[in-house]
Amino acid sequence: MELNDYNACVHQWADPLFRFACKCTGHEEDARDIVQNSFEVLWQKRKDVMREKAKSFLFQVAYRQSVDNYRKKRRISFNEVPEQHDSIGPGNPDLKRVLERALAQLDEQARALVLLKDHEGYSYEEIARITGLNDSQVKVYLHRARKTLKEYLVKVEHII
Amino acid sequence: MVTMENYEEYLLLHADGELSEAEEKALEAFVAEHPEVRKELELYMTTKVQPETGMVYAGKEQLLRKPARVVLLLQWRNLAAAAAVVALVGFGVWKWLQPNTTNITVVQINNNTINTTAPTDTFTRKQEPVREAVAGNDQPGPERKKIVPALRPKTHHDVLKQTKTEVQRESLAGIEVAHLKPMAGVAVSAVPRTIDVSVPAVQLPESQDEESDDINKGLLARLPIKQEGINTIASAVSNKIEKVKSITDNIKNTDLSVRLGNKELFVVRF
Repeated sequence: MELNDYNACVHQWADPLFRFACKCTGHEEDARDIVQNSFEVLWQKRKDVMREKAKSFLFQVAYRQSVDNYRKKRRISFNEVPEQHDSIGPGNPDLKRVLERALAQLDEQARALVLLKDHEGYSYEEIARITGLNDSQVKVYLHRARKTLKEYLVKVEHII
Repeated sequence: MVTMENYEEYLLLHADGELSEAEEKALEAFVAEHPEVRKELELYMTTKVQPETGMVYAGKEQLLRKPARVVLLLQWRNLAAAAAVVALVGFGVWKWLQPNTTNITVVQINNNTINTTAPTDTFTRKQEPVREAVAGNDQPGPERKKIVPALRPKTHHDVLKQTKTEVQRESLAGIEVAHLKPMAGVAVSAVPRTIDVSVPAVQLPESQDEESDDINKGLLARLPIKQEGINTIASAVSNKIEKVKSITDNIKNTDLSVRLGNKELFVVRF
């Protein structure tokens, strides 16, 4: 990967990576640090990373930092996640907030899996490569997380 | 095949987008047959988290990298050139100084040779007067034997040790020490005594006067070098000293300026 490819990755993946890290850690500043570190690692390893693999590489680094480094801290506080006031897209803003709280019920790993699946559209196989889990684990953890989210939504069904 | 037992997994796989086209059609058909499942399907689809596209990373430009500027290469080139200049100047100075130091060393060796035969008057040995020096008498020239008083009292232990070794002959720094004769009763008396030390009577070249020229000539005559050779060496040394002096003066008046383009990086003043 050359300089131009790297800079293209910055333009293309800095925002998704920041959203992923922000949702994982619950802290905007931590998320910024994770994004910076991820791109720093990508720059250092640019000779070994193909352009088409750069996104997975970035999310792999960000996942490790978000989940592994923050797992022990147990300081996820979604109150600090910046509120999105516009461009939420179609859907009920109340449902959005409920889903945010539901997501906060998950552990860091499950949350990361959901984000990788729903935000980035990665397959089980790709998520397995990023997270270091196997395909079955990804599937099981994701289904378990999805059921937890659904149950939380059922509890507050009156909102929906 | 989708059944009431496994339909939930199909719903989850559908929400994850992991069903094949055929499986999607099978699930669709199953939901059509079981309308109560549709609500559950919609709930699972609701759990899909939508990205907040408005949340952006501020300051992407800080993550961007710029190409290495050509100036950097030029700077390296200039630095390399400056280093080469400094190395050349240093090598030149070293090269000029190198033969001079060699000649000086030769002279120094000669001086040392002279000095080694010169007296070190303050060198003393302990005890035992009486005996004349035996060694060093084969050296020609004006040498004399000198009795030097001991600087420290001889202790009982020293005397005993010396009587055990009986006659000793010690040579140190070119000074021959006389045989030491053990004396009965010395250990008891422990009185400081003097010993004979063979000390050449030649004075140091620095302190010599007109009268010592003859002595110096005698020493030079003893060296295995011809007079013409000595004169040649002396003249070569003086020439080199003059050259070094002129080089040193030139260096003192020379500045080495290292410039990068029009910018002066530093100036070395000698």
